[in-house]
Amino acid sequence: MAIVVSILLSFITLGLQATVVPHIAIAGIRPDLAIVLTVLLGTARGSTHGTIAGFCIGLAQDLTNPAFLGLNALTKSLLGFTSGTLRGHLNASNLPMHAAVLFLAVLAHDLVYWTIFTHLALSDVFMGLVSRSLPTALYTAVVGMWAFIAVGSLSGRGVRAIGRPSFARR
Amino acid sequence: MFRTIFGRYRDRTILGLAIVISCALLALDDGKQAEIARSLGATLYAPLQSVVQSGEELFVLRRENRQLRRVVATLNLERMRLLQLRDEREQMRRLARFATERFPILLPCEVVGRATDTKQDMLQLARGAEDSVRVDMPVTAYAGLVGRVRQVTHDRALVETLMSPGLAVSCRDQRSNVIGILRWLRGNTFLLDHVDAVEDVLPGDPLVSSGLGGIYPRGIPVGVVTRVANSLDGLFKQIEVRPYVELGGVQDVFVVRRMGAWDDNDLYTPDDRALLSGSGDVRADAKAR
Repeated sequence: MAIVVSILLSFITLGLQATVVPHIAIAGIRPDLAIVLTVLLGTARGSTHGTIAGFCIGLAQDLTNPAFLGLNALTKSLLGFTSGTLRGHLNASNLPMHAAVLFLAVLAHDLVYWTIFTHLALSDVFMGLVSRSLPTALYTAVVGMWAFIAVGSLSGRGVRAIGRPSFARR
Repeated sequence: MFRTIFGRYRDRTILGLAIVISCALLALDDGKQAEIARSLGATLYAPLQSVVQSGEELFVLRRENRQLRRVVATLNLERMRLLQLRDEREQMRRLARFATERFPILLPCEVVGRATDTKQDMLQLARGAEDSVRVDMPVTAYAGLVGRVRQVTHDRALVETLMSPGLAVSCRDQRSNVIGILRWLRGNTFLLDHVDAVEDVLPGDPLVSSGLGGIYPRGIPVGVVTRVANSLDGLFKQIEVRPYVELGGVQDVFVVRRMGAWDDNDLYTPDDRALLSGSGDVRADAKAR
């Protein structure tokens, strides 16, 4: 059941990313819903589920832009694994902390992304992080926080459903 | 034993596998990557795309069709006038022994996909190598330049738009003939770089492609200058540009297959010629106007 829900969520997220998100862009900066979903699944279901979900979501994104096929799959696998590993340390009821986690997740994801994308050209990596990743991280954190609330509410257990005392089955 | 190790380190094993597969995909050459993406993408995205497209078409097509008929009728009348002027101009150029001018021969393409990646701006077109689309061919829309073809499979092409970081276009100020390099800055704003502080560029100046660099032909409309200031060191101008094409919502584009002469047979298909000769509804529309 969890896998079916994850697949369904992935389809909805990628659909929204391709259709709705471009319309809510601010000065070309768009929230990265794929990262939100990867972190959400990682923190909710653990590192194994997070890694697989991250890989599949990333690969699905790569299919729309095959110039660097595998890049999003790699970065989001790492992100899913890390968020799954850290879920024991997250306080589920602390929404600002979720926002901070999403903010850092985007930056960490983009650091790996830009490093490979620019073939380790440090000035380009720095420029990419400052000009695109920072505002994207901020926007994603704000939007993602509401996604966390929504999913928490849908699960019928409030925001506490995500994080340490959550649907963590350790 | 394998099961024990896998059970204990399951998450790490899966991560390792994911990394290996991702790196293997990254290491593939461009053609192979595009082929895999096309075959997998067609399966994964086709149902979603067809639903979204059908919905959009339902609302858009009728209105667009009416609008296009009006535009075609107007353009047909304008074309008649221009043909007359062209003949006179060609005669003058021949007398002055000027070189023959060439014009883009366009292939209309439908945008069927857009990269969901937030770092690069890519469009997927429903045309590919079987329609003679090649890498580095320029892509335009009705209003102006869109970008260039980055990858091609037999039935799909991936277009890198002007909003992709790293894409630069040499542009010419149509009023003063000053040349600069156009780069994406943010949102719908671009910068025209490498223009000396003493050069003559003013807000409102139209920009067209300069033809330098060999990819984009000369004279394709690109955008309009919106703001001009001097850089902090006072050596260069800081010029902001707004493109003519709303790159975020472009749905129909044209690949510039090659440059041809005015009277090139490939400029119009037989159907186009029938339309332009003033038959049917177009003529009725023109009369109505």
